[in-house]
Amino acid sequence: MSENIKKESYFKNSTKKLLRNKLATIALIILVIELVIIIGAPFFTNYDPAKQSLQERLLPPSLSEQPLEDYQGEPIRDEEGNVKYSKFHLLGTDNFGRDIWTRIIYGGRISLTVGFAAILLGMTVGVMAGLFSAYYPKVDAVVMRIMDIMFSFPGILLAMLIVAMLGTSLRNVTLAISIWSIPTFARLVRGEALSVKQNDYIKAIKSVGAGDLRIIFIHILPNCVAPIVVYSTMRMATAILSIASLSYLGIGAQPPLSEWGTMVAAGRDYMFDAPHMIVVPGVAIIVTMLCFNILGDVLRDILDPNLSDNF
Amino acid sequence: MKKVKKLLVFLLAAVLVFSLTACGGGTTAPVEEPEESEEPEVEETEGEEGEEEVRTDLNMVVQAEPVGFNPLQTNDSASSRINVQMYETLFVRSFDGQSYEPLLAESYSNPDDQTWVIKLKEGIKFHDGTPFNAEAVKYSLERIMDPEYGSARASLMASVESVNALSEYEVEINTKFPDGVMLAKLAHANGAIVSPTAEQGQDIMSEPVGTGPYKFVEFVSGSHVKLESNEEYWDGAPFIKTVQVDIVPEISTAISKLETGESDWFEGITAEHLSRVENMSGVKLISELSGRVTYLGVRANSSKTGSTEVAEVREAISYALDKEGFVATQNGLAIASDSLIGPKVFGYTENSEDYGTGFDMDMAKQIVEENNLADKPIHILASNTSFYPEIAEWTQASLLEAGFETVEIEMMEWGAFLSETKDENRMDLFPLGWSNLTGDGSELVYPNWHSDNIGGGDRSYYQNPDFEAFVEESQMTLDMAERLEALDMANKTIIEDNGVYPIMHSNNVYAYAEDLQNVEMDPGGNFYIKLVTRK
Repeated sequence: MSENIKKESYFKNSTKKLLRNKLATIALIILVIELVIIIGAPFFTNYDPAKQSLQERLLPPSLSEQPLEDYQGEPIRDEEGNVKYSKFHLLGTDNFGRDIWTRIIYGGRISLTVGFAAILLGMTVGVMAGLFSAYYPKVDAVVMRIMDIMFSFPGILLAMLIVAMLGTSLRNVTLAISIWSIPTFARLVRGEALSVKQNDYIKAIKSVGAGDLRIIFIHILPNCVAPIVVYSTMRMATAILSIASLSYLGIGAQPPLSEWGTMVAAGRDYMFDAPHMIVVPGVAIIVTMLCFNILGDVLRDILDPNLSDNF
Repeated sequence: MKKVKKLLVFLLAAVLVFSLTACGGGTTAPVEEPEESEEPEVEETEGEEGEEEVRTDLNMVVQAEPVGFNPLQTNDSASSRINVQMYETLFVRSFDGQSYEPLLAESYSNPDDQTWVIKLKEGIKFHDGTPFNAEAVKYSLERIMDPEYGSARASLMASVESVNALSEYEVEINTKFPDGVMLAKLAHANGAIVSPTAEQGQDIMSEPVGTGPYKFVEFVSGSHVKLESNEEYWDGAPFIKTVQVDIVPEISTAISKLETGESDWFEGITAEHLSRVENMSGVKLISELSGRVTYLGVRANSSKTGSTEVAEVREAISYALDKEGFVATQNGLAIASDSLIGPKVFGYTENSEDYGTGFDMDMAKQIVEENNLADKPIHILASNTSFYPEIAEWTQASLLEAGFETVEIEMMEWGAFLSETKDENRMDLFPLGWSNLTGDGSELVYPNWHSDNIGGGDRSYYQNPDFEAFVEESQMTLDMAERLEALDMANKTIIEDNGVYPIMHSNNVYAYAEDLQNVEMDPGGNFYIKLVTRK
């Protein structure tokens, strides 16, 4: 009973502390707004992210409808000689005349879904590996050497290798990014679990006759949650950047799917004529990453003041 | 305290990283400062020619990596651009595209319709010292004819019965039928004469030996090709002594090299970069209509999914493509066309544009719906260079709009694309281009769509007896009026059959440093460094 009350107050306390931090609150609000827009994407746009309209290509961001021009700067006219106007494109259009706002919010779906799925998968496997390594020295010898091998690959290269081996698809990108996150989670949890394992209450419950699994999942794992939460949040930022990088290199999301990294890659060719093509998705990536990082930082300070020295 | 320590560690790390990058920067620094790095070279030339401060080097930047340096076994423009500097052909197409002039040949005569007697220039030597003579010509041409050799352009010699050396400097070519395109074929870069000793003794794909004004120095895959002048060139040593061709697949970076003066020459500027190059100072931009056609190839046979083997699917695709719309994105660098044979190519007539279906999205939708084609998957294979990714994406969007539910794009690097598109059942659609080196329509339709060349240049596996009869007819006569009609019919047949979707005929667009002179490109897109001088 008393344990329950303590847990609740710990959670409440942390939330309070988080909301007291202005920066973290702003980051949280931005992420929530982003999430709402992305989940409800069809309600926030009238366009189809893949629909091309070549006459409306490369329009700059604007608050109103814009007159259409051909490549020589001459206005495009309809049969009656009236100048044709584009539809309303808040953030402009890309090289195929697709609405950039629409592509950003649909692209965010991919970034966030793939990022979230990859972290969840990598976290599950990594946490398991870390817990069991910490508890069984024999497992430790094998599993942690495998993790060491995985550590020796530079992150994005490992992901590229995996995608190259398995073929280009979003599922494989998710897999690649999750595999890449496994070793860090494993090492983090192993270190935490090792120190928890030394505590007297673990020895006590062991002497009472508790099974290994019970000890691992009910008594060690809850004590490792804080670093896991902190690290997952920060890892999310890296994951989003990785998806964008892989897409930028052409091995992530495939056309006609829109994805932030692909949008930056497409915009690169038009950097001088239509800078908004590269700036808009670039800002989307930066803002999202920044929010996750700030949140991670603040969480770390709140959940475990000592942790900051471990990094 | 801990924080101070951390800061110190961070600072130390930062210093280390910066000092490392500084070391790395040492190697790139000279490239960024051309004046400094090129001083020694200028001094060298001063010693040799007594001229002052005239650079005799040429730096080119290209996007696609050459496949190899054997003109008989390669047929991609990236390789041809470099091979024409090292190898020479018997004849060469004039810059206006109207006639063929002797190069390694001295003169020719036709004792009858099916015999060509070619007199060769005397006293020419290959880079390895092998004399250039009738035997070398016979050897090279027979190499192309040999099916086991696997020449990329066996089609060039398909009409040849035999090649005989009449004397040291006289060659006789007997053809199976009167061949109207013989000179054009002998002027084709892939019909170049190679050194027989070198060809037998080494792999000239990587160690090329020709008679041309430039000798091969080195090729570092993914980085650069180096050439040096052939001081014993039969027509006099060229002005430019060293040539470096940098391979930079990414177009923005390639154009930056032109901007900073690291590179003197770049070809293949796409529409979105046009204004950037136009605004550069010290760089000249040339844009002129060429014989180059860009098309969407289709597998009417041996398709990956089987979809495009259905005539209705091909018809729907034809209606769905808004070529005018797409070409408008090319900023005036191309003209939209429904004709495979372009205005700059022999075989184009005033009717040529009328054979296609034209764009009609409603019609496309109707065909898809009436024939229940929506569930037919379509697989597009595209190269990741030039505007091919854009064509692929535009095609995909058009077909999705027309009602096809599954339209996939697979992109790969240029070399892999060229070889994989030859495989059976590999894809349904593939955007590709053909810069017609000869300027003759026969040399477009025969190598790319005649079933003789399936697995070679023919990536479409198109088979239609009527079409093939017209193509053969266009080759088998010396009468130009008859040839024109046959080519027109061939063009009409394949377009009406939706055996290919022509998209546009493009300009040759290239830019070079203003101090270069005599830079000229032939309509086939080749340019000759030996003519170039610097102010």
